[in-house]
Amino acid sequence: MNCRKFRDKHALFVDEMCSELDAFEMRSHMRFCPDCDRHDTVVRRGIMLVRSLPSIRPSPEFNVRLSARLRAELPGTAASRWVRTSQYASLAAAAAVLTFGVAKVLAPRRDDIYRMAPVVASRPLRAPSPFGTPALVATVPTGMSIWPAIMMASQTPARLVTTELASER
Amino acid sequence: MPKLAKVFAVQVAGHTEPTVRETLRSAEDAEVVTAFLAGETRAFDELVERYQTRLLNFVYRTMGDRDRAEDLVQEVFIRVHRHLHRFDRSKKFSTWIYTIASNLAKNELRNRSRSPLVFFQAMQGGEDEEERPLQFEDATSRPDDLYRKRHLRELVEQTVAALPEHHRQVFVLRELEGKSYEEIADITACNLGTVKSRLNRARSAFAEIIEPHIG
Repeated sequence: MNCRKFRDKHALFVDEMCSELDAFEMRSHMRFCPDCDRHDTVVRRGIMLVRSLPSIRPSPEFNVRLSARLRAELPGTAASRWVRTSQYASLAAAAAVLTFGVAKVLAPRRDDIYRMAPVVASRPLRAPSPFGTPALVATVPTGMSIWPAIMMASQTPARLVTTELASER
Repeated sequence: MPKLAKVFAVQVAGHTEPTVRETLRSAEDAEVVTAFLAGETRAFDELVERYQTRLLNFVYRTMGDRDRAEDLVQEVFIRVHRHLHRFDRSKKFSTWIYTIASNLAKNELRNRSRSPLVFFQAMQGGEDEEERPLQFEDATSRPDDLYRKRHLRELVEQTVAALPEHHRQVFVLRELEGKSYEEIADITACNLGTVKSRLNRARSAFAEIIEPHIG
């Protein structure tokens, strides 16, 4: 260990917070270095002196003045604020319970509800196609459907006119 | 918290006031704080009782002006009273209150360095200090011993006051208040390494000044 390391670790050494190995090295160094040995002695004596400084006491008016200042502070004290916060919390909880209760009382009872039969959605029936009739479809594999198709085609204008006339009426 | 429960049990049972005070006196800081937040106003008196002298010495040694130190300690308690509901009760109360005191003292020193008038008043305050009787003098000592002790005390105080502000604060917290390195780090908002190096430098600087006088 050199003097610089000694000085760096000296605070921990004085407070007995360095490792055993460090403490051993520090003590060994002091045996061979009168300057560091002297430094250690002076620091320890200085600390003793500082620690023996007399403690000063607060003046007799200290508590009176503090009480007066605290009284002036009173509306906003930590305790009162904390108590007030708890009160607010209690009030909020009470309000919530009350609201729930009122809602429960005012809400209609299950028996009062008019029950309707369940509605089942159904697909609306399509109007039968004038072209794809089952008879026509049945004749397709035999080739017979040609004739009904020709007949249907020949009647088409008449059907359209009939439809137009029906809509005008 | 058995002690706190005891405090309230005592209150509920309608026991006399000294019993509550005694219970508070034997309670931990955290329990006293909890009692105060629960509405026990006497708990705050207990906190004042516990910390007023310690804080006054800390602030006085940091600033060197007794009257102003007393004002600042009052301010510390006002702030504690005002903000105690925000105190994180998982932390140490003593660290919190010392942090408030340390910050106030730092601000005061900063303001003082900017205001020559305040500096002048502080110097005048120092002269008044000379007139005060010394509390630690032993009347049975010989006059030359008394003189030597008084001189040494003044020298030690001047030497502490002459340390740079951030070194002095760490030095006072360690040597006069007996705080651990970790607590000092929390109070001064520094890391542990900084605390160690500041303390080392403060001690070395102190030893250097005091060496010629201690033989």
